Amino acid sequence: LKQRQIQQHPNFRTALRNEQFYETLLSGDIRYHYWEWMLTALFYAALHYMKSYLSIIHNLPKKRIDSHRGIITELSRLKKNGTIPKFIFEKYEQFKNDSELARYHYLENFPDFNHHKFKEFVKNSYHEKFELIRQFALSQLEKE
Amino acid sequence: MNTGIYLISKKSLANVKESLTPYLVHQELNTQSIGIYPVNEILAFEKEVNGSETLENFYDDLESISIEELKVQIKSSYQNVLSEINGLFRAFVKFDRPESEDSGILDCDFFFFVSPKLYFNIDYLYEKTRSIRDYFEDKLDVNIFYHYYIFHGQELEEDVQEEALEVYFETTTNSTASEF
Repeated sequence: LKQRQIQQHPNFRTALRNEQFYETLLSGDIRYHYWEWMLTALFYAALHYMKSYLSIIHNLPKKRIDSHRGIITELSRLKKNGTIPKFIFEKYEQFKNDSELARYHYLENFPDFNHHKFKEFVKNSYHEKFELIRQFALSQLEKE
Repeated sequence: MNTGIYLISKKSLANVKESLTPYLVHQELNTQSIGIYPVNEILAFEKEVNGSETLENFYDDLESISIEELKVQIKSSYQNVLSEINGLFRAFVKFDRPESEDSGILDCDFFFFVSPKLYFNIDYLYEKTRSIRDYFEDKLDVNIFYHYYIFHGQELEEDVQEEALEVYFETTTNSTASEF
């Protein structure tokens, strides 16, 4: 019953949908063309997995985790008391930072959207970061 | 509730020491130290000298002083390490009160402006600053958050809020274009 409740949780369902969107972009003909949206989809999947974890495992009310600031503050609190591994917090913080740069500041730094540096960065490191966060959230939810 | 053990502000310490010497166990104030003081007497003295009328005002004053000390420690600790990080051009810190009481005593948002090379190897910055971050977070219940940007000589007003303080400035900044 508990697992069914997790599967039905709004944040968990949103995480799955964002992940599916990433997979769709990855499998299409224009693979990595819109890499910034691949990164964004993955980040929001990670965000909703963590919100599921915070909401279900730690019973945090919506209002405490309804902003980026609220989420990272709660993750920081749990990191400090040893509940969340430090490397998970760091990967999440980096994920948030990089997806913001991709969406808001990319063209201030690179001449066009096809610059290999950031595209390679997304290709080579981001799915791995996402998997670490996802696996952590799922492992905690499975204990429930 | 009144245990008689509190921090005392530097502002009043000199005056208090002078008037209440017989009662005091002196100790230099820093973020680690706690002195033993007769609080009622100090409160009366505070009221006379500074016009603080309530316990809350008094504690606010004490808290703000110790938090100010903490900010100085954080800034200086980071300054020492940041100067060793190649590819870091500028750094700022913004201090805030945490939104909720159970979320620590101080929020510190660091804004790092880095070369593209360091941006793509940001784990290096995390590793170099990890022991400081861990110390202030784990031992002193401070919240530290990192924000980092590629520095290309841009005006920083948009990325750094007005109240942020500069903690590091690389005086031998080279063009970042060569790193692409």
